[in-house]
Amino acid sequence: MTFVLVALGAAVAVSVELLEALAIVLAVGVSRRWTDALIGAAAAVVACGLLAALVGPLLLESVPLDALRVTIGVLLLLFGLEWLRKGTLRLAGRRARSSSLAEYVEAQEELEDAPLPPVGQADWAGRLVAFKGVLLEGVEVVLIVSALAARPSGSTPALVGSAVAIVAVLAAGVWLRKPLARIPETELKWGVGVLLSAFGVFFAAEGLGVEWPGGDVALLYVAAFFATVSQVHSRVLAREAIPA
Amino acid sequence: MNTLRTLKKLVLGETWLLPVGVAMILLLAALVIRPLASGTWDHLGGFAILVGAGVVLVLSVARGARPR
Repeated sequence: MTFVLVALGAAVAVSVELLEALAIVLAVGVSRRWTDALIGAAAAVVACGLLAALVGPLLLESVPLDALRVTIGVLLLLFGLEWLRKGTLRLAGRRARSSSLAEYVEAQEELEDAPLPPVGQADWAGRLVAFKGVLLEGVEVVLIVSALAARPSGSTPALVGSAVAIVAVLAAGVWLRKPLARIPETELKWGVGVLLSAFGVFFAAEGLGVEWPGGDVALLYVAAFFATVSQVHSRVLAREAIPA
Repeated sequence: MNTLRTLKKLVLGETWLLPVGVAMILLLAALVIRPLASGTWDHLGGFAILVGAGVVLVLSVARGARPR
């Protein structure tokens, strides 16, 4: 079951991050030139690959097993609780909903003032916006996937989930050539927050010598706990916002 | 400076409450609860960390929901 949950967590986390990166690359490609958008994105992918090659082995080889579990747990808990905090506020209507479409519009606005150079000359403004967008989302992907893949039981589920997400998001981008406005990103991100927080608590506790009752099943009740706390809190906040 | 600020936000999030809260829970669990409750830690220690993480989440959401 841990295999499925880790693969699912990695797949959804990578998907939502890639959707945002894709929206920025699409914005540059549609409003400027596709070659420059793809060059900027490819440079960021290379930078993320180098970071992954550095972070993964560093975590696996230089940290003892229990310390590794605590390190992974802390990383996942930091990401998970942050996503869950934002998700709870969004569901309560206290924060704007997450949207790749907004990123798309923002990237196009960022390039409005920069004149497009003639054909044959590099469009550095377009390349830079595509590079920055893919790099920022990519770093988050690298950190989450490295933490999930550095588990003592192996990196396969995290890598399988990530690969599925990459293929799905790239296929959607090539097919539609526009941001996927109908995807419920707020709810997806909230779900990722629940999963990452659950993994974080699970691994950190294991690293401190805890044996969870039920073994891997604990992941389910830990996730249920976070989901319940967040949902109850968002409903309380939503009710408080309605004037009497 | 802008890149450093973005990276800090990426890793530590938008509020200091989460990293400080997570650090406090784990330090409290490892240095205080674990030695005091060594007999029950193996099976119940995870729940102490879970409840602590839940409290940190509720506090950070409440802080984020406050009108500025």
